Amino acid sequence: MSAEEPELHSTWIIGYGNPHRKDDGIGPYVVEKLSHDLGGGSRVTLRSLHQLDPVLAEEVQGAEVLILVDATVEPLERGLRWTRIQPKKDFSVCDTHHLRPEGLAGLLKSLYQRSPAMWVVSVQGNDFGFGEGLSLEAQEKAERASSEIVQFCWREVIDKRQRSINDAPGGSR
Amino acid sequence: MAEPRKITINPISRLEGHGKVVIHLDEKGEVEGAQFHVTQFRGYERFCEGRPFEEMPVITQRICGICPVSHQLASAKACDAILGVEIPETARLLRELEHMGQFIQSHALHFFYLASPDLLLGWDSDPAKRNVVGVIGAFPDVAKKGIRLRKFGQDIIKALGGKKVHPAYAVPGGVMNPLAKEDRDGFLAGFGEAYETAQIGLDLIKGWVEKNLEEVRRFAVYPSNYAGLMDEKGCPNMYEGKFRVAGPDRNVLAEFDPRRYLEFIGEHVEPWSYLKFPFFKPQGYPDGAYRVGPLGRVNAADSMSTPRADQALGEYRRLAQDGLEGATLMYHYARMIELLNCLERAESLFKNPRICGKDIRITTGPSREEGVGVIEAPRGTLIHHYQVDEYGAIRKANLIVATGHNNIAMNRSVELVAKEYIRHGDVKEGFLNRVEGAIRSYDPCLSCSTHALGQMPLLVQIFDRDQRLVTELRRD
Repeated sequence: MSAEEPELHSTWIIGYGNPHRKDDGIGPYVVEKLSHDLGGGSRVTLRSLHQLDPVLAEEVQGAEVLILVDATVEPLERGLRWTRIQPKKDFSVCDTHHLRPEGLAGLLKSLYQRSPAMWVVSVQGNDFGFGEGLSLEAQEKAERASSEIVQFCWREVIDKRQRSINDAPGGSR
Repeated sequence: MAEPRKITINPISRLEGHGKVVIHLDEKGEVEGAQFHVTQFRGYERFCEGRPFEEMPVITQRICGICPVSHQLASAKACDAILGVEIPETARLLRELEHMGQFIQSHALHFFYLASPDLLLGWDSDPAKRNVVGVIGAFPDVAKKGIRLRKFGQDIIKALGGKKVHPAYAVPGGVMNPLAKEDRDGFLAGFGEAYETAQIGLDLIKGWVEKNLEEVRRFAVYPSNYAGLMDEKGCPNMYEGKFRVAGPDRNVLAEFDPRRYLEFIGEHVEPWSYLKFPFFKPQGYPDGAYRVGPLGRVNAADSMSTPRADQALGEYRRLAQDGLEGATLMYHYARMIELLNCLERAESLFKNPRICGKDIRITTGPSREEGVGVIEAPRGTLIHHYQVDEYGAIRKANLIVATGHNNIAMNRSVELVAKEYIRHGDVKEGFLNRVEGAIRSYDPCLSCSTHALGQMPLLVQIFDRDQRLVTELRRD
């Protein structure tokens, strides 16, 4: 129907939050950084959003790996945390234009029979007041998150190549 | 003697914003009155004061995440008036196209996500499952199509303004960017599926009304005035037109240039709500209540401006005769007629040879100290009225939003449902679902409608266990 049909990229990274509430903009900040760090030929789709939305399920239905980056007020030991998201049968769609990660996973499973490997990278923010730009502490954590995501993506690429070699005729499988 | 009782429903779900309903029972346990409280408090009108008027389309669209485009456009129109310009034709077409994207996404959102659980799963189904997740489980194809239709509308907004929510597009004097021909062609290819989905929605609500005629007849039905912007042929026009107020029999009571709204619309304030109560001045408060939004526009209209929607209106009129026009549940039907109308209008705009033109903005300084911008938002008429000083800084802003226009009507609907479902103090099964459903029919956006600060009286009342007033705190 749309000019924008689902993109069948294998990996999607979505940073979400409100950049006008300082550290709540960690997600978009990480995505911006990744757009430089990952390079152009990475086959990773990057997206910055205000918040997750049910329509997103339609767009990311082709994803094999989905990484969501969000700010949190929760104190975290390393300042950031990776959480594996599993679709839940009783997932809830919070309201009309907002969705929790589990809700997105649930929609993908229910509507499109898709279960991508899905993580939320939560990054601890300190200052959620009005204004643009991250606090220095949040910026440091966001950059660490970005480095970890880059490493993760490279591992994915290496693993995928290895699988492809193993699956090929005469491979080591 | 039995004690008077009070029933409070809080919060109300599947609405944008927060609301509360209080129902007062008399000593016999019959409903004495009902109030739909809006407890949210925003303050937009006040904190816009002092800002340069050019910023208003950006600031005011932040009022809402569902209908930011409507606020942006009403604001841009008010700013055009302050500039004293008529914007270029291509800019006008593009603004309307952006607005159609907004209607498509908003109406699809409401019908397929919010209303469909009540309609497809039933009022009395398990509340834990009576939501869009339940619809996905039971009707995955309908849910999927609804999501794609909403995305279609959002993509139109994004193609023009760069973002689906809070796009930076309409500006004083025009719009920011022209439409690329490849974008236009991509969208034109998508209308077949969009019409198909809109027709599914229309068939669904028509079938539901036919099957549930008794319920529709009993559910918050009352004669009211209806209102909305109409073109010169008496068809609803979402971007511009004359403001028509029609009576319960659809007879035209007034039709006027919406910039003269202050002559015809008054705003009443009640101490128990942050939401004002607009009314049609010639009839006074509360008799001058009117309904806006899909039901208001469709009932006030002579016809629809596009063929498919006009045909759907004919079927609606046949079904709605004998008083059903005043049925609150007919909002859903009217919304689907409008969805079709907006798709047809959007397609026609994409096909307009001037839509990809490059003359899209007039840049000049302010030449007037006052501007009014009026538009039809998905939920109803939206008015932005600004006064500026000699430097173009906002001196005063008045915003009347759709949910405000419907405030009297929403209260009346809640009261009618309460009277139907509460007898001798006994609350019938399914009552809560229906109160929420009555309010939801209006698709209210409470975030939009509570923007005033500092002018409204506040009243805090504390009652003892016998419901006698013991303390009253008041700020006049």
